Amino acid sequence: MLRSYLLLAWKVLRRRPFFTATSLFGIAFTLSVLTVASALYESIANPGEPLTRAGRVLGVYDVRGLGPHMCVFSSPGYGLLDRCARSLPGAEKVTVFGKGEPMTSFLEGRKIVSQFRRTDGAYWELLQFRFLEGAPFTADDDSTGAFVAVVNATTRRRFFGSEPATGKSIVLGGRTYRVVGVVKDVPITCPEGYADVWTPIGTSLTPDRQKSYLGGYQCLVLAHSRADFANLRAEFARRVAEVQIPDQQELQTLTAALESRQAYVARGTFNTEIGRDMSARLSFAVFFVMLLFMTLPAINLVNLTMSRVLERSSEIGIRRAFGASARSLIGQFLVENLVLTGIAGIAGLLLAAVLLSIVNRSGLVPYAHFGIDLRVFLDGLALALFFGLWSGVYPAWRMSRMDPIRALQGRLS
Amino acid sequence: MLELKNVGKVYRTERLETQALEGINLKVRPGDFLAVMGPSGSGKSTLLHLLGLLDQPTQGMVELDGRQVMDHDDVTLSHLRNEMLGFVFQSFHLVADLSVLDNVEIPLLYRPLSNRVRRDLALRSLGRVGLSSRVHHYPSQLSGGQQQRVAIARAIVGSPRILLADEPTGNLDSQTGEEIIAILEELNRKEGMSVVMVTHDQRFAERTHRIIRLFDGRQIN
Repeated sequence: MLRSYLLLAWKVLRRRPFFTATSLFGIAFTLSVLTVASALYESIANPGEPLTRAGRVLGVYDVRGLGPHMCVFSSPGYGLLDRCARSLPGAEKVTVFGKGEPMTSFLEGRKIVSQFRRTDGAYWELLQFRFLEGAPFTADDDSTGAFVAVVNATTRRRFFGSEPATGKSIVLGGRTYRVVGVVKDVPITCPEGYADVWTPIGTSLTPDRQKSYLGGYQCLVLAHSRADFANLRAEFARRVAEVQIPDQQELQTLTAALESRQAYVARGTFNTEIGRDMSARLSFAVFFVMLLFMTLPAINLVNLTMSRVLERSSEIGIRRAFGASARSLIGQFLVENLVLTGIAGIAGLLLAAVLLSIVNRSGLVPYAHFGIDLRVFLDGLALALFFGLWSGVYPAWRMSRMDPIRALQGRLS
Repeated sequence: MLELKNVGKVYRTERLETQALEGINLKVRPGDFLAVMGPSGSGKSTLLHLLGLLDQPTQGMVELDGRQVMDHDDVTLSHLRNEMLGFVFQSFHLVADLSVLDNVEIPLLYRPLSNRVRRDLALRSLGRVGLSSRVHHYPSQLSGGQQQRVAIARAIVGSPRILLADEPTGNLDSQTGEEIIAILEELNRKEGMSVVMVTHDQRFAERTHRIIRLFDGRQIN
C-alpha cells in the first residue's frame, strides 16, 4: 500500500511542475532557515567540545550588588567565586576563569589582536580541549604565577606559521609567555571555552583582585550528577548570603546563583533576575517563533493540497467505493504530504549546509564550525515531519469526509 | 444475499425536498443478473448507490445476508464494500496517473495482501478481460472500450459477490458496448457473480434475468 501511495504522490507532484516547484521552494527555504537557526541554537545550547559535559555543569555568570543608592550588575569577582564556589562540597570540579579581553601584540610590524583569558589549572580538567601539541598548564603554574600560555591553532599560525609552538615564546601586552600547549580553535558560541590565548590567573592576581566581589571572572562547577544540582545551588546561595561586604555604604547585598547554561542564555534573552530559570519559556518561545515562521508556507501548502484534493475527487470516490475507509484516506494524503515535505526537507538541509558553510567562511562568528551534525539533521527531519503533518492534516480530514457519490460525480466544491 | 426492504431516499436541502426513491423492495440473489431501467431522474443511480452501501436510505432497511448493514460504522461499511462489492461506472473513473495494473490493484490495497499477491491477482483479472498486453499502459493510452474493461478488471479483482454497473455501456459505441455486456454475462454465467446493471439500452436489458423498472423513484413492475 505504501509503495502505491508513494508512487501516486510522486506522480501527483509531477502533474503541475510549476506549482510543485514553487511549493517545494517555499518549504525548502523555510526549513533551511529553521535548520540554520536550529544549528545556531544547538551550538549555543549544546556547544560540544570543550564543554562536552554541559549537562552536569552549572555556572556563575553574573552577580548583582544592591546598595542604598546603587545597583550593580556585572560578572562576579575572583574573591566571591574563590570564597563561595571553589570548595563547594559535592562538586567534582570547580574552575574560576577570567571573562576574557583583547590583547595586542606586534609581530614584524603587524598588529595582532588576540582574545586573552586567564584561568586556573582546574579549567583544563573541567573543559575538555583537544590539544594539537603540548599540554595545559597546571594548578602549580597558576599558584606560582608562571608566565606560560596555551594558544589556539589560529594564534600558532599567526605567530609561528606552520612551525610547532610549544616551548617558544610569545609577547602579549608587553609580557612574554612560554607556550606549553596548542589547542583546536573554539568558536565564540562556546563563550566559556573561547579564546586565542590562555594564561594562569596567578600571573595577574593582585591582593585587591583576590578579594574583589565584582567583575571580570566566571566560574563553572561540574557536578557528579544532575541530582546534585539542588544541593550545590543551595550551598552556593547560603555562602553568598553570608558574604560580609566591607563597604556597606555602597553595597549591602549580593545576589549570585549557580545556573545551567540554558538558564543563563534564557535569562539574557528575557532580561530577568539572576537565578530565575526561564529555559522552559525560552524553548517554548523558540518553538512558537518557529511555528509562526512555518505558518505562511504551511497555509500555502494547505491551499495547494486542497486544490489537488478537488482535482482528484474521482479518485477519492473510487477509493471510497472500493473499500478505503476515511482513516486510510487520511493516511494516504498524509503520506503524500510527507513525501512533498520530505523532498523539500532534503533540499532545505542542503541549502542550510550551504548557508552554514558561508557563515563559517565569512568570519562573522569567530572560529565558527556550524554544520549539519546528527542532532541538527534530526532537528531538520523533525521540522519537515512536523510541517508535513501540520499542513496535511486539514486537507486529509476534509477529503476523508467527502461524500463518495458527490466525489464520483465531480460535484465537490 | 443483498436486500432492500421498503427503501426510500429523500434528498433535503434548505428549501427543497426531493423524493428520489420510495417503497423499493429488491432482492439480489447469488447468480442474479438484473437490469435497472428508467428515464433520467427516476432514481436508478440512487438505487445503485444504496445497493453499493455508498449511501444511506432515509427509510426502510438494507440487509446483507439477512443482517441490517446501515448501522455499521465507516470502517465496517468500507470493509463490506471491499469484500462483497465491485463497481463499474459509465465514465470508467480510472486514475489517470496510475498504470492499468496499478489501477486494477486499488481494491486490493485495502486488504492485508503482499505486493506479489496483489500483482498476481491484478494480472489475472486483466487477463480475464483480455488486457494482458496493456498492463503497463496508462488510461489515456487506451480506447474507451479498453478503459471500461480495465474498470471491470478492477471491479472483479477482489472476487466480489455482486457487481454493480452504472450504465457501463453509456459512453461506448454499440459494438464495444456489446463486448462489455458479453464480459458481464460471462462473469455472471461462468463465475456465478451477481450483476446489477443500470442501463438505458433495452437490447442489453433483455439479456438479463430480470428488469427493474423505475419511474419517479417508484418501482413500476
